[in-house]
Amino acid sequence: MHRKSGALYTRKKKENYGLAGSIKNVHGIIESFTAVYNAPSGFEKHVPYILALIALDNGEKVTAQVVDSKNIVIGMKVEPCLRKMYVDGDEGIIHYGTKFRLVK
Amino acid sequence: MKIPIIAAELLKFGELWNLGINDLIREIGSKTLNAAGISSKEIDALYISNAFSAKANNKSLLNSIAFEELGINNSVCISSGDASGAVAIREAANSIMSGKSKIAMVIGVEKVSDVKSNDMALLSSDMIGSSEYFSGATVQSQFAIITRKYFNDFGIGAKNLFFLTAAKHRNAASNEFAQYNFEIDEEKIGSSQIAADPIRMLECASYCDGAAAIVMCNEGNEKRFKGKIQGYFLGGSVANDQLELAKRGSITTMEATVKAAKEAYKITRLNAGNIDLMEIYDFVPIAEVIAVEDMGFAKKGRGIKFVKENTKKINLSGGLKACGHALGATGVRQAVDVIKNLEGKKARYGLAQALAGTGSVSAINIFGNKNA
Repeated sequence: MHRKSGALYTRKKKENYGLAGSIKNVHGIIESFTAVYNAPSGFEKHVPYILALIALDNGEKVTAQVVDSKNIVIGMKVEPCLRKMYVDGDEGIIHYGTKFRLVK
Repeated sequence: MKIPIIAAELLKFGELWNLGINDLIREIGSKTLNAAGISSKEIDALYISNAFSAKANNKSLLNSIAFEELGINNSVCISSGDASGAVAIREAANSIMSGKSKIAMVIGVEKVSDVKSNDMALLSSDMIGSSEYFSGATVQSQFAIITRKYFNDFGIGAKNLFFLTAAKHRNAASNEFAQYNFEIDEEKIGSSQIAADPIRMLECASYCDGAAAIVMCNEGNEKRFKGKIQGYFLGGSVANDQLELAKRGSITTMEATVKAAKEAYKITRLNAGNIDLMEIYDFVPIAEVIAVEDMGFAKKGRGIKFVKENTKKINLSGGLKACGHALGATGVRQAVDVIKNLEGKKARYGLAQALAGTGSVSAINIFGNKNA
């Protein structure tokens, strides 16, 4: 009998990955943002990272990181992309999730 | 209905390396029972407010610890994040109003200085939404998003709120129970490290250890404690909102505070104009600005002006920023400070407001002085 890997289950966790599929072709607008310097464990390597409140075209809002965003201002257009979020310890699962990038 | 408060005590907040959570409960418990002049057997109900003991101290049955240390029966733990203390006070008042208890006690206690600082961000992550946390958000970062939005929408020339933090440290200078009871000038605050842009490190309250307690009695016992009465609990309310900022309609208004204030004013038949002084949740400066707007002290967008003109009315203790933020103890500490300052300032009505996390819970209690 095969043992299923833990990743198969974590991938289906709604709060983590539910977003990834549902907003594939949606654009959004930056409502507000911050650059995080005082990060929780697991995110230290990314400091400073941009975290934004994004209003999506479909009427929903999300809080997500925005990548490659040196000149970010409120009102900019963004689109979703799949990115690495963090790693569980040295040998743990690599968590992927939705981040956003500026639309050129 | 007025509920007499017969003792209100504090321990100094800070990094209390020589006290464990058991010690804190014992010290504040016996100090408060002594002040009230009663024995632990006379307490009909004890509410212990705490936010993180299960994670930070590996102890969740603080009510059993209270029985061990103080011998108080019939106690329960109340956990609502930063607002725990304020919620516990309302619960104690409810138990008296229902007639179930004659004398009720609230102990707020927190012991977090053994937790490393970036683990603390992990710990406090249960006060924000899980998808926010998954994206690397913290309570600070969510308030930073709110701050930028507020400046963007209502900014009217304001670039920062450094003056507010400086004013609080000035207020705290005479408060012997505050962790940081010294002055810090605006320049130093403005040049400190960035926590989450635009919020600086010295603008954020820091988590610390602490304990505070109050004892209340019913009307029938008022005569017995005549000389002991410190003030009166007049009414309180708790309201909730979404955990995630993304699910709220507006992030520059705390819906929970609006609802709680409405309810509290209704119960006490008072309004914002009657309140002489207040202790407000100021984990970051913007929380205080938004709170005074939501509680009806200033119109939307005028909060900054109001807090600038009323630094001698708001957070006389120094607030969470200068007192230190001992999560579960903070709500009780605010109540103790309101009661003490009503006496000291010869004022009539005072208000204490606490949020949990970024405003998913808001608790407001209103107190009156001895003659209220």
